[in-house]
Amino acid sequence: MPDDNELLSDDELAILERAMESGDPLGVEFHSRKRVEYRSAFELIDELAAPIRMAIESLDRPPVLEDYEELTEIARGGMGVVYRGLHKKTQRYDAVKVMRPDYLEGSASEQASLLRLQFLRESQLAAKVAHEHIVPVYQVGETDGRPWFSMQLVEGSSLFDLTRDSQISHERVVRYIEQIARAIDTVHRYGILHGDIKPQNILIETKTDRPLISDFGLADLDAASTIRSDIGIAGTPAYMAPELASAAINGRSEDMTASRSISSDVYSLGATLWAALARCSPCYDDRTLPEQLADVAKGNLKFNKKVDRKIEPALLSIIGKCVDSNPELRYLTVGELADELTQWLDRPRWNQHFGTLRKLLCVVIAPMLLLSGLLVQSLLAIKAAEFWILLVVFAGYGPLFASFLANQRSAHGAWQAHRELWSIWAGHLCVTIAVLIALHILCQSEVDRVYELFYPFWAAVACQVFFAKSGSFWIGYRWLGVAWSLIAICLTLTDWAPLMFGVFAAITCIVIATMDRPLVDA
Amino acid sequence: MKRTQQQTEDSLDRHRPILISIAEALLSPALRGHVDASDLVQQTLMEAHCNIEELLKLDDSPLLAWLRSALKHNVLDAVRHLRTAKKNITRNLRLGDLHDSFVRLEQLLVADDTSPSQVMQRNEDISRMLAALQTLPTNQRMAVMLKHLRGHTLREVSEMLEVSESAVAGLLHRGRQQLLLRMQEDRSE
Repeated sequence: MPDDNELLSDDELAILERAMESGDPLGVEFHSRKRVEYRSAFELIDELAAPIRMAIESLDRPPVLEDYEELTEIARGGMGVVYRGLHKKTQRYDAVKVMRPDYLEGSASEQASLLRLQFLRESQLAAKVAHEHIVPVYQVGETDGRPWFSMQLVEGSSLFDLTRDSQISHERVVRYIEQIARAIDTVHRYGILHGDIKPQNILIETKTDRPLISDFGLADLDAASTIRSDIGIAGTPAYMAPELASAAINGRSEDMTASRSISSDVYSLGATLWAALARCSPCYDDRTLPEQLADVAKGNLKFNKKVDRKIEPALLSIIGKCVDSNPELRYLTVGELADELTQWLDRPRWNQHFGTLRKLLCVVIAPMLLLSGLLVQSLLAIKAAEFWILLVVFAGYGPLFASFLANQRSAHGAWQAHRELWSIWAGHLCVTIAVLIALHILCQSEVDRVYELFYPFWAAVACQVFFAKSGSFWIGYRWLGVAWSLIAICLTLTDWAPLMFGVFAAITCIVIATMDRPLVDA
Repeated sequence: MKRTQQQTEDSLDRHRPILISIAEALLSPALRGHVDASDLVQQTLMEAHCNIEELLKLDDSPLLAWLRSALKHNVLDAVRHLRTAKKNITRNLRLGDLHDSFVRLEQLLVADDTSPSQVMQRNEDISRMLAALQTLPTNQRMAVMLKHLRGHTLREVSEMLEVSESAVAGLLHRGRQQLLLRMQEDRSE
């Protein structure tokens, strides 16, 4: 017989609490007065707390899907929540994107069914797209009025997270975007637009370092949610083409669909590339969503305002062409953009292929140049035979060409850079010989006079060499070129031309070796 | 019928604990150390005082709705501010979710299958419960908050509060009894 004055211990309470939690309190007997009181207090408070609990919970609870189990949330966007789930039949983990319940609730019933239909149609379309850089869609379905589709679970992180969390090289970013551009170009040929390219939609598979683009063809829905302010901070307009932003401001979704084109995808890719390189959003963070949308429409964006010195001018000009406010001035196809990026990636970079040369510059060539300047100066002073002077002048070419030869064997894929360096320095040698012969004729072999004139000429030749190198190599060579044109003039004013030439040449070598650093991939 | 300024001021004061409970419940535990619910409520009530003329027209229920909406903006602003200031805390925070929770709460408070008078009665009881929650000792309040308002299980609450499950069960039981008692007193006042 239960005691009506029974005092419930904490352990008993824990058992009752778990029984209530299980939703099936019948297993525990609620016959004593204390226990009945306990139960009614629990139920009353729980009921009163329900609206707040549901406000928090309803958004997080994963849906029940027939084909999937163990759903856990991994991401959420404006329109849908992405879960990681185990496919029952294949026992493989997939990503399942389910339309958010509140996404449909905010709309009128007619509009809601239209949105549902659109979601299904777009995901069916996306399922047809197959490319190694596009996240494949496996299955499309609907549960409790919530449409969903499953796709490959990409183990890795998005380009957005990757660039925010770590310093990755520009080379790597450009390679990702180039591969994504090739994929999008392929799909454009089938008449399907992506419409919502942004760093968050580009996933990098960790194991293979392969970029994949997701959410193909869902742009209309996602964009609609970006603009729908009642859903809150759902998406970002930062990568939206200005013509789309204008249509969005006017609030006409038909206009937005009509404005979407290959060139708006080109714009988004350009903005994505910029954001990944600059490691920030093109929009100003302190602006509200509607303000950002207006900024996009007016072009009040970071990449239009200031030049980011950390990004190479060549890349900035490619990005500039992508994000031109006039769609007609952008790249005609995404393929064109991909080609430009390929060219940038394949550009000759001596600093990546001539590792030993950089060391050689500091350790051998710079001291040699200094020494040869000093030697020529002394040989002229003691009026030594010209043979010795010529020997010293030409000795410098020895280690230079030797290092080219040595690197030619080891360097892989550097033939273009090699060819350029050979041409430039062979030209330099020819000009030196020609100038010396010409000066001997003009000065009637008066040695002092020949070398007084030779060094300014030689400096002028160096100026030309550096300008030539700045075309394909490090951009700083231009400034070295300018410096050497000034040195050429200075050398006409001094009696110490050979020595000064040696000093400047040695300094230049050290500048090149330290400033023109190879790009290290993180 | 318009209320007097004094009546509205009193009503605002009565709403303070209700708003604190709402703010505490909707802010995720990770944020609580960085955003102070009572500060946000204080700010909200100040704004209400500045708009007192407009609020004289409102009864308790629409007044509370006005306050919830003002609170929503303050909470979102605070979290947004936190996000720019301290990136690591808010890294996994979804501002949109917080916004959604507020919107969803409004929908749930209005929509019901029962009659408008029943909805009103229920909402009054909810308000009483939320107000009474602020009179509980902190550990009881936290236990009830996590269990009933945030929907955590007994085990989760025990992990979060770092006490045994039995101890949490005791806190919950005594907390609920206190709550009912306070609500009873409130109703009879």
